[in-house]
Amino acid sequence: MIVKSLGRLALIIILCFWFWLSCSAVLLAEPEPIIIGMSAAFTGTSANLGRELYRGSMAYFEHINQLGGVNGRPIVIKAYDDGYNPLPAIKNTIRLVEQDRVSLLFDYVGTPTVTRILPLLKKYQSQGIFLLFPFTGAQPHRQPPYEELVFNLRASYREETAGLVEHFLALGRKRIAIFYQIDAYGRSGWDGIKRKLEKFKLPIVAEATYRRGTEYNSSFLAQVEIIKKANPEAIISIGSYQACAGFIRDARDAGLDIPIANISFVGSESLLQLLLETGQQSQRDYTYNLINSQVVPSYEDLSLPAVEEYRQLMDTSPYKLPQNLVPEDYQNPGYTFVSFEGFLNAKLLVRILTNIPNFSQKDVLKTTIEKMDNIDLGIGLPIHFSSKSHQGLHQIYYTTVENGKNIPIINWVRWLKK
Amino acid sequence: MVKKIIVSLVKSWYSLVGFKFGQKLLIALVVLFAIVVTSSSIFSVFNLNQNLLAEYKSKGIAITKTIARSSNQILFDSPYETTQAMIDSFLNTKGVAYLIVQDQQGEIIAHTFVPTIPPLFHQDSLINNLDIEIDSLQEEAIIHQLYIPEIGQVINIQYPILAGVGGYVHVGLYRELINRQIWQAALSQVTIIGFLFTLSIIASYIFIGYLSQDLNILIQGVKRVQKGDYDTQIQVRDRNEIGLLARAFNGMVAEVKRYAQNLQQSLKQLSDIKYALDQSAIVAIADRRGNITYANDKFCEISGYSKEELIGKNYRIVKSGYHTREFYQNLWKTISNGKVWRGEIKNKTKGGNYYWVDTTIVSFLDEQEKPFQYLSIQTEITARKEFEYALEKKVKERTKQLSKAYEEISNLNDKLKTDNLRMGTELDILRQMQQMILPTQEELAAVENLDIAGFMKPADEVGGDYYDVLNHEGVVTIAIGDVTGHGLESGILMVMAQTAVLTLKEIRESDPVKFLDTVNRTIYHNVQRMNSERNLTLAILNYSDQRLIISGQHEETIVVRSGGHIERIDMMDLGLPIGFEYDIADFIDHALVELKSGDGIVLYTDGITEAFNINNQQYGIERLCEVIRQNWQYSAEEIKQAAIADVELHIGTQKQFDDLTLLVVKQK
Repeated sequence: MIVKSLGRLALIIILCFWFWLSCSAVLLAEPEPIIIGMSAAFTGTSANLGRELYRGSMAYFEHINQLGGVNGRPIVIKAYDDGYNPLPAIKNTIRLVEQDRVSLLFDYVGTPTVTRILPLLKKYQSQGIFLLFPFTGAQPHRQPPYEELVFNLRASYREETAGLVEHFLALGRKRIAIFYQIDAYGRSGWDGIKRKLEKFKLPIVAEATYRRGTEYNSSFLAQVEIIKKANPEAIISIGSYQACAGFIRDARDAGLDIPIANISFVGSESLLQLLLETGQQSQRDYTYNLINSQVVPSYEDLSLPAVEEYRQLMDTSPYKLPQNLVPEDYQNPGYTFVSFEGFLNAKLLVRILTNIPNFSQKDVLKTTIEKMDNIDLGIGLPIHFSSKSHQGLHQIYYTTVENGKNIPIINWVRWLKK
Repeated sequence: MVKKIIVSLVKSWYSLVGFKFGQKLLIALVVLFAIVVTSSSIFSVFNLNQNLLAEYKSKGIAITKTIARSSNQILFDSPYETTQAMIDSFLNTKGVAYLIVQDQQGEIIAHTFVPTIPPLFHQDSLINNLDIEIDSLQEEAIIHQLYIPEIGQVINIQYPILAGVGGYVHVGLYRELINRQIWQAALSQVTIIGFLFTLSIIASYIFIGYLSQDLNILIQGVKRVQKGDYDTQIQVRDRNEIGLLARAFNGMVAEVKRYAQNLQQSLKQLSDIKYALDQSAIVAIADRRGNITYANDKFCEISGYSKEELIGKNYRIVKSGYHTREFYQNLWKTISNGKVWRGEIKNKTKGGNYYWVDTTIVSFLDEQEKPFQYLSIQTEITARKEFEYALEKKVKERTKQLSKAYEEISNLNDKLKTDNLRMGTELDILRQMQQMILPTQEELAAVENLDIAGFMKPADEVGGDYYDVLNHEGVVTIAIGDVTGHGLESGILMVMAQTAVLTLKEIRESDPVKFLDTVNRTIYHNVQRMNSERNLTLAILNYSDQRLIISGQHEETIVVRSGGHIERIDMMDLGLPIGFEYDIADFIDHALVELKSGDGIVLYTDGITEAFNINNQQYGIERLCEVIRQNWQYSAEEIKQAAIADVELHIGTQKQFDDLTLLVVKQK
């Protein structure tokens, strides 16, 4: 008898305690944060891209969260490292959607990664999961069947490469060679160049490839030799900053001093930093005749309100990188095109989220974005979305290196074919 | 290597259990294993090659098919990065060297090559010249073996997208990787088989060891017997074959013991004989070709070769070269026919000296009665041979000397012949004189009471015989003598003797001692003067009144009685040869013979009794006596003639070497 009544008493006490806990949780709860998922390269040869993109976005989210968040809810980025490899990207995506229950996917980095998670998006479509503003200009998520699941801010690689080809042709440089990463990213750039040249009935005079993950210290002489043999007048590189910087180094060392163009994904500042370091060591200038296409305006263009805001936030905001993904020797790279793009991505997302009171309706994100038009982010260009266009910007910007800095190109004449 | 280890394992096992039967079994097992492993490895490699190749091909086909099917949907809108992403996802597949996607124009729209597309794919018609005809469209994989300098040997699998309308997918598979896998698989298979085999070998060791316990008892028994312990008996519990074998063995050991004892005895005898032979003779054994297989110490000693030098060498090693080819041919012919050869052989020593051996060679015959070896037994006869040789040499030398002397003598003879011719004439005169001084027929007939007949026939030249009958006043003196030798000197001595006898008769000397002594001194003086070494026998018989006194050394006097009975009187003690010594008086004696009517005596010289016939047989005194006895009834003359006739019959055509003298005296 005594034992039985003691057991009942214990049960009653436990039930009361649980009830009290539940009540206090409700009463003391802060507003539920909006969790957004990110898979990017925080390690490996493209680590700087993930870090910069995250840093740029977080600068703005921190700023918004300090102001009280979006509709009273703070924005939290759940970020995982995929090292710029497809399989981790797929795993990260599954983890984000199924475990972390993120509201949307944001700031993904890289073509080979994004290209491979597209079928997953198809799967999670029913859960109202969309990928917003991935850091890639590749084609698959810009065209059927995946275009409806992805919203892009940046222009495509086709647009970037087409712009570069057009400029080179205008300068009389018709013999264009290509150095590219042998994967979906490189293929995308290759495709863009090929298509543009085909319109002028011109071939790619030479093509050389490298394996994804190749480090700056590797030799690129084989690739330089292949390209040099074809006697090109310009080279377009579709790669990551380590390989592209290495290629430029070996090309210049081999006496190949024709213009070499890189595209936005390269991360101009990271590329430049490597070349400057090597230049310092060998007392050579590796930074001449370099052209970089960009998909956001230069952060040096102080006439733009967004640039002013970006600079202010980057200056005041402490760097924030995801836990466990901060390298020991991390140094602040300052202003970068990639962090600026991350900043713009965040600013655009905040604008979108402001229009969404809750995510109960599964297609709410898509329908909301597709209705948004003439968004002004302070970059001098309006941003349009529609059900037919999921890409906000089409503008390409060009920079070159002068005095160790990436500056916008004002005059192309210097690269005229002599 | 594995085999070596197994063999050493097997050996150590034997030493443990001492089971020799297992050895062959295990070696056979190991050999079998080697064959099995080799063949199965070859077969496996072949099979694996086929299977892996097939697997890789089907893998490659699966990859190309997957890419081709997926590309169907996206190809025509050409998002090449999707295609690239897809082929990239296959690049991690094991064995995949590269992937290529071509569009329908043959242009490569995605690939995985670094740093660039190998030139082969720019030129190769396989890739670029794709003439697409609707009829030839198909959905089958095309497989090529390619060599790409940048990559190596690859298997290129080509698969059409939309039957070739959409282009082609290629996947390259490392041939090297497949080969490596094949070898790895083969190696692991060999390892596993080897491991299992080792296990089964160990298991069989244990099993065989268990089985072999009884056999070991048997083997130990056999070993004891081998060591000569013939009292060995084996106790095996089993009633199986080994048990039977053990009992049979026990029976056999008893038999063997008996045989061994016999054998030992025989061997002892044989060894004794051999010892004796080796001690006494030079012994060697050679095979059918004459190669020495055995030589005893004496052989070595005499030949100067050591045993090591002799064994295996041909017997020719001691051949001296002394004997002719035919000699050796004969020897070989004899012994190779299985016969025993005997003879004397001259051999040569190592030092080049020669030695003679009395040799007997015996052939040992095999089952086919063919000689398979030869035993030679020899004794040294070098000393004898050398002696014989020396003798022969001496004989030759002497013969040579003699022939030289003969030559000289012949020359001398020739010279003498001419001298003789001259002297012959003179001797003829002497002979006639000798005949003339013999008593005449009338003188003999004048002797009263006695019937006397005398005969003398000299040899070719002047003879030395003498007889005389002197009658004076009833005293008849009969003398008979024989001078040694022939010729002139003998003839003169005979005449001298006749003169001396005649002189003494004239002075009436009747004492036989004085008579003979005087004759002797007379003759001796003359012989001394002549410096001659000759002498003569001389008998003097004095007859008066039927009494006969005989003295002097001569041939036996034959006394014949009237009835033919014969007595022989030895004359040797009645005197000495005349002319030999100066004084013979002490040696002279006399014999007395009474003669009745019809009795008589016969006197003769040795020319009668020593007459040779053609067969060199002497006539002899017995035959003379016999012929006298048979004819004694006749007159003296007739007896004399009969006797002479018989002697001449005996001589026949033979030469007459000596004078023949016969004197028959018969009492009237």
